[in-house]
Amino acid sequence: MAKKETITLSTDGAINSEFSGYTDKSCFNAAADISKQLEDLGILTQVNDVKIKDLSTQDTKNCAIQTQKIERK
Amino acid sequence: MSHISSQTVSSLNGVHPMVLAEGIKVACQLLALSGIQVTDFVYDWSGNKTQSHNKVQIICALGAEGAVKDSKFGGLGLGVSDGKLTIVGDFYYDWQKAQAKKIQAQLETVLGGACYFAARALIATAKGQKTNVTVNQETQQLQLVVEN
Repeated sequence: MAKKETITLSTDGAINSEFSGYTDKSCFNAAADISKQLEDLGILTQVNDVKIKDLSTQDTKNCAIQTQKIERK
Repeated sequence: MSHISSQTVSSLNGVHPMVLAEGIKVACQLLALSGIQVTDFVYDWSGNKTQSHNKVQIICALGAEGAVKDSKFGGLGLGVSDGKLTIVGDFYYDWQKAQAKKIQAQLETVLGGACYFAARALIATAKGQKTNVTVNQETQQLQLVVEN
């Protein structure tokens, strides 16, 4: 299965980022890698605003660990 | 006659200017789904279309209707100046100032997520990953798919 990340932006400003095609651990690593790159661009992500779910396992815990926060103000 | 002014806003200080500029475009695209008029100019007092002010290029503008002197909303112009979000527009009457504040609040609600969306797309492009952006009118969402 191809590794894919689907990012959805809603009109309330909420971001939902879902990873598919990853194992538990590699999803965690992918999320951590993306979070770090976003942080380098000044984008911090908040646990209430970003949900990262590994669709291969339906496990939200592993990938949710690396969320930080989206600063709006 | 024109009362166009520009003011920087402190929202999202620290975001890379390129990301902020792209985020503004995404935010405008998203707000368009809610029915807000999006243009690349604002109207001034006389109804002239203005695309920049004091070296600030308007990336997109929200709610532009017509000449300010005709009691229409000239539009909330958005740009980036010194790395900061900058609002450009002619808000002469009190109701126009209030309208500008209301639209600015709507913008600031989505701008954080829009910058995330734009940043994620820029990272993917820089890495040579395949990306696809779709607009879902029904759910009023933007979707970005990144594939390795």
